[in-house]
This record gives sequence, C-alpha cells and structure tokens, in this order.
Amino acid sequence: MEISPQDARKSLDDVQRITEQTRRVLASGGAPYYLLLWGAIWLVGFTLTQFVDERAWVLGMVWGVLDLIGAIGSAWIGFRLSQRVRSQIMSVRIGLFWLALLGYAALLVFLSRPDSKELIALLIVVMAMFGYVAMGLWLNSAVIVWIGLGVTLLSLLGYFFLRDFFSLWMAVLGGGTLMASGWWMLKAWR
Amino acid sequence: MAELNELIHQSVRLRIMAALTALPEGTEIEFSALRDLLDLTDGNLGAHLRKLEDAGYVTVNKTFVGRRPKTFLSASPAGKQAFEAHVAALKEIIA
Repeated sequence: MEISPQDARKSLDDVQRITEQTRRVLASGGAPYYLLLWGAIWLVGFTLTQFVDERAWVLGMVWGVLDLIGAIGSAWIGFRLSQRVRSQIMSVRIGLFWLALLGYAALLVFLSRPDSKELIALLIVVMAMFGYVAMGLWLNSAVIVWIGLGVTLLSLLGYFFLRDFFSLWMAVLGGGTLMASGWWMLKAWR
Repeated sequence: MAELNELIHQSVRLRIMAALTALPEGTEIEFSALRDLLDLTDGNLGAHLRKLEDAGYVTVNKTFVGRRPKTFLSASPAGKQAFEAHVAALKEIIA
C-alpha cells in the first residue's frame, strides 16, 4: 500500500485532532455539571450564611443539608457519566482522592480551631480549590487548574479586604465563578 | 521501516482507532458516546467496528446498565500496537 505525503499528512492531522478531542471530552467529563451544582450550592449557602441567624447550629444545618444535596447530586452525575465512559480504576481513585481531601479539610479545621465562621469557610474553600487544581493537573485540563487558582485568589481577597461581606462575596464571586465556568464549558466544549 | 495498515488506514477506522487509543488504560467508551464524538451514524460506526473487531483490534464489551443494554468499546493491545505502527509509517512518509 502506498500513499502520497499529502495523504499521510492529512491522516496524521486527523489522528491528532481526534486524539485531542477525545482527551478534552475525557478531561471535561462531568466538570461543567459539577461546577454548576457546587456553584449553585455556594450561592445559596453563602447568601444564607451572610443574612440568616448566625447561631452555629443553624448554619451547621443549612450547610449540612446543602452538602448532602451536593453529595447526592455529584453521585448522580458520576453515575450518568459512567454510562458513557467508564473506568473502574479512575472512578475509584477520583472518589478516594475527594474522600481523603474531605478528611484532611475536617482535620485542618479541627486542629486550627478557627475563631470565626469566615475563617472556617475560607479553610474549606481553599482545600476544595486545592482539589480542583490537583484534579486539573491530573486530568490535564488547564481550565480546571485556572478555576481553582482564580477562586482561591478571590476567596483570599474577600477574606482579607471585605471581611464583613465575606459570605456575600463568596456567594456571588465564588459560587458565581463556578457556575459561570460550568456554563462556559457547556457552551464552548460542545 | 514500518508498514501502512490497510484496514486501519480507511478514514473512519483511523478516527475510531485514534479515539480508542487516546483512552487511558482500563477505560472503555460507550457506543453512543463514540458515535457522538466522531459524528457518525449508528450504522456507519457499527459496520467499521465489526471489521476492527474481526481483526482483533477492538474489544467489544456488551453489558446492561440498569435494564438498558450498553456496548462499551476499547482498543485491544494488538489494536494499539497496529495503530502505533500505522502512525509510525505515516510519519516516515512525511519525514
């Protein structure tokens, strides 16, 4: 079988394009849906944290319910995705990674004994965004890395310069950034 | 010198093998997801997959998710090897 260099070039270009497209689909996976879900949870949770009763048990209940919704929603997204691309090894590793991160976040909050609800929120947000950066690096997705770094920076700015409105800041800019990023991914990556 | 693989060189089959080879180790893609990715019809994808399966280049795993039958696909080790040899041959031509 013989082909011209032009045909060979065209075939290699096709291979390159499909390889990149496949990796992008894999990397994005359910990222847009996770971002929309958790962005909405932050928007609602932080808005309530800013304006409702400051008693710890009230906030604990609000975030407990929202985190439960997030966990169930994430599991459902994961289940839907596994019907299109499945990898036992990857799913288990990703699940264990987030479980370990959750454990370390809880340990960090317990050990550092933060004196304000803003600091508790900042510690959890920073740990979650570390998770985004790590996942982005692992899945070779620069966008996810930049989302993680961007929200971390916004959170630190809000904590140090707008402490009184930190929860509102996190609702609009943190939750908003996650939701806008998810929406953008859905539009741009299709 | 690497040789071109006539079976893989066909445009659709080349794209199928490129997509399946890009999957990480131990990962399978469902038939409709591959169809959407490559923008093919069910019949077209099915026909080319059969040829690749007959050659031992593609592993087809039929299963049920809930009550729905699903077909998951991946490149076999022989398929990955043949695809890489074909790409190497293409590179030699343009070198």
